[in-house]
Amino acid sequence: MPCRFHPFSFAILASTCMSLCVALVMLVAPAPSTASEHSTASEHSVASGHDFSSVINAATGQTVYFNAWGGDDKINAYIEWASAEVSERFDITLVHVKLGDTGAAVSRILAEKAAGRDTNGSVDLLWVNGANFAALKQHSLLQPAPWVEDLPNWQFTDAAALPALKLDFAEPTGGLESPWGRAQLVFSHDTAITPLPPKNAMALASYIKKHPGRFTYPLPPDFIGLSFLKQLILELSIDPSPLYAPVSQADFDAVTAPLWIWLEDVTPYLWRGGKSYPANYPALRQLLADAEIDIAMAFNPADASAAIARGELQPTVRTYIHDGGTLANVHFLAIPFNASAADAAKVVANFLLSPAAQIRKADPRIWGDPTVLARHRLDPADKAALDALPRGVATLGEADLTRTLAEPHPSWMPAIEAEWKRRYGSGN
Amino acid sequence: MAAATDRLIFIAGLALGLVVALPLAAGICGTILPALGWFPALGARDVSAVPLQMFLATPGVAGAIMLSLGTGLVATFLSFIASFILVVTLSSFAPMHRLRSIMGPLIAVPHSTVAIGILFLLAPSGWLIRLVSPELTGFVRPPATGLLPDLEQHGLIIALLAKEIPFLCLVSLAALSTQPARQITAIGRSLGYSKDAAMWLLVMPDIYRLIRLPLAAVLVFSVSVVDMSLVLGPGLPPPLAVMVVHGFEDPDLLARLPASAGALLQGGLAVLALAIWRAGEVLISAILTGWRRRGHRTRLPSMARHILSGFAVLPMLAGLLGLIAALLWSFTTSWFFPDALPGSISFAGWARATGLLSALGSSFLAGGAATILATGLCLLVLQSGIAARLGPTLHWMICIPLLLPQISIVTGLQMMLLWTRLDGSWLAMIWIHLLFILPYTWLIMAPAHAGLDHRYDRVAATIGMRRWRRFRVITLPLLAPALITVLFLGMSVSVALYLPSLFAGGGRIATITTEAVALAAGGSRQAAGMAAMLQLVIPLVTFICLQGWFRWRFEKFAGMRGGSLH
Repeated sequence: MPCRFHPFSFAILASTCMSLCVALVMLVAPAPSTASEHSTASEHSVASGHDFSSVINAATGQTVYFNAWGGDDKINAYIEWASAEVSERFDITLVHVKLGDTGAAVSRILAEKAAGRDTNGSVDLLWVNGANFAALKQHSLLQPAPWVEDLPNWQFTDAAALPALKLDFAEPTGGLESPWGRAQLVFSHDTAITPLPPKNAMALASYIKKHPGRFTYPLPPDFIGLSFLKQLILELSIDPSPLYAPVSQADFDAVTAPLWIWLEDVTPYLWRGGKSYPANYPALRQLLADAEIDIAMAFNPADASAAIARGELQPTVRTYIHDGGTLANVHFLAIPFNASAADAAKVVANFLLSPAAQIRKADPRIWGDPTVLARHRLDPADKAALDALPRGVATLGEADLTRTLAEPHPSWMPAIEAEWKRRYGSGN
Repeated sequence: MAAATDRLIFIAGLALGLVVALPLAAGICGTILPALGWFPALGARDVSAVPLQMFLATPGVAGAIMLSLGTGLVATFLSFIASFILVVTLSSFAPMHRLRSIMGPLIAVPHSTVAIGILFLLAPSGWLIRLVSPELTGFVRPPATGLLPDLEQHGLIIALLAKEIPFLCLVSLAALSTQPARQITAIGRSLGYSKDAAMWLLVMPDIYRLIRLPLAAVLVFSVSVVDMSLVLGPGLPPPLAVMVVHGFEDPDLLARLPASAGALLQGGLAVLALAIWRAGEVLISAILTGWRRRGHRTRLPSMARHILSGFAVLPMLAGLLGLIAALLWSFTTSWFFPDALPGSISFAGWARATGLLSALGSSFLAGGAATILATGLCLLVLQSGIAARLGPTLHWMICIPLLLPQISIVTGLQMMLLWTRLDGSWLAMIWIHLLFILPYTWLIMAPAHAGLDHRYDRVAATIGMRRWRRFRVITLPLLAPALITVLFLGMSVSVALYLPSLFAGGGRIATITTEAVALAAGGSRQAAGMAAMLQLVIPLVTFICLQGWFRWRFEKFAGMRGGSLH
């Protein structure tokens, strides 16, 4: 069948042209904005009223894509429990989107905003704090109206006693993120190997040099890795006050000089000579369990106890904090501006703030994340349940955990990260 | 009849355009345009080299490029040499089909699973050191540096070897079976060559020519591997492809422009690696030709031959031991250094594995749908006759995803998916898996289809059987062995896809492989061990089902035994 014009060549040509056109149009097209999208957006603002039952009604049958860091088994298991609960109680499907880095979700929301996707966003609820919250707020990527203090379970918190509930890394939360848990940087060590761990930055430096290859920290921009750098700079600075104002108002080089001097001194003696770093704190914990390193760190004071209970850490592991105190903060749940299921996300946030969920979360056998609720505002039964929780063999007492350092202004985090990368990012 | 053929050809062309040309064009445009600074939605409209300059200014980028290039070339060269050594040694040594039946399942182990195993085996606190400590080494704590001075790079090379040697072996054995190897070696021996020398100098050069495409695919993959590096990392600097992935995860959206430039650079690096390989090819072929001309009758002592074969098997052995280590870890939490075996066995992890099971389901769904569609598309293309008309163009178009680094396609594709709001949808997931499965499907189906005896079809046509019925009753059963191989391979390839799943899943759909890599990087040994084991479930189940079906369906046909998956 000799034929000059083959149908197949037309088909391929057509679809290739089509795909090129589609590609170009997609890159060039401005953000679409239609009237229908605005009307759906206004439906979401129902939640700002005081009647939460209407929010619960609207939430029925919705699916919440909960974007939360997914690097820790026990946290994942807790979220699975929560999703079973909200499914039963409110007919809400809670899907845990496990993030490697919360920045990826912020980036996705930003991309959606750039693409004009003002509704039906891919993220409904986001586990966030500090720099990522600041970025979300700065780019107007959060629900426009404050919603947190309308949550029925907000009554169990006491922002006067715990100012960090309304101040996330020196950034006012403005009712745009609901508190979920508390965190304080704690170090852990195996008493069988390291009976007397170094309890300040200078002692740590000499310890590292005396025990080469036995200390490391998670690779920045990991949250714990950067937090450790902030801990160091707060300890090493004679006057840490510039750290609590935006970095643009300070002489970055002068303020951070003590940190870089410390790192220059110590880096050659780090685990694998500072040419490789563990990805995050569970990886660090595993290295402690393997006895590859002497000291690990976590933002959850009960993390070591929980790991011991699961058999992942030696029973001789204990925790400590530095003499001058360590970084402490609160972590939150935020709802993006374009969430597909904002009502259901609020119901989930409210559920996660409930005494039942908070007490379960504080149980070191489950997760061990300290509650954001105020003991004195709880029902006697809930208070008793909270008090009855085991402390965990390696967890410090409440009294030891009162020595805290406030988080620096969030703008310092990316600045320190960039400088760290410039100095150590190539492994030389 | 002619009209029906034309219609079929039209459908086949359209399907090819939709499945292959559209995503490829979208992916490549989506990488190149932002790499040149053209991304109007972000206000970037100036075409310039600024994004590339920005990417090149990333700390450690030169080291990353050298690391990727070195790792890729070394791993590919070593796996090529090792596979040829094995093919030569074993072709005269064991019944061929037995060797193939051992390696068949081996190539179905996903890359990230192999990497997890290697990590568990070779880390300073890994199983190998635990096995001999403290008795032989005196270590009561893991040494500061382990067996490998640089776990990220050397471990990566070993993991790549463990994965690619069986693959190249199988491909070479398949090529060997099309050659009159026995006759050629007989002639060689009558001319005074040793048996091995006859194989190396007379047979293998022809085999090499036949496996160039798979070799190129291995080289491109090794230069741009991400999942294995993530599991064995994070080293500083990371390989180039990992650096690009990090760029795409930056909260600052404008960081995507330099990251796209990085993805483009990765494409360039793959081309450079291929060029270097080609130069080496020319050099070695000149040396070999010289040898042959001079009539060298080299005779390798059999001792050396055995040692070489031993070395060639070593990486696979390491891979296998690593899998056992992963299996052990999946059943324990308390296994402290320097105990050779876990102190206690616990099923607690498996009891909590519901999250992993849903990821496993996603992998099954994406892999199954994409494999069936890919096979169907191949059959459509082959039956329609479009292949005969398009010739090599079609072949190369289908094989492009093998010859371009995945990162250079999927990052651009993700931008497109974002715009069309398809990211995180099953459609995108299956589509992208289809794109990457199709080349493998094609490489097996096309020769099998070409080898069909068309006289059966013609006889059936003369007795008035309709076209569709002939296809069902005659062509499909004749293709059954190839179909089974394709379905198995398709599932295996799909399970192993990390980057495409990561970018198409948009965080919403997790496959067992994206989970496994995240867990391994997160340091939870038990969870990573479980994920690694679950990764093996899909190829295993597919294998058993297909094998069972094949036995049941074709038991009566003596001539079709021994076909199927081996």
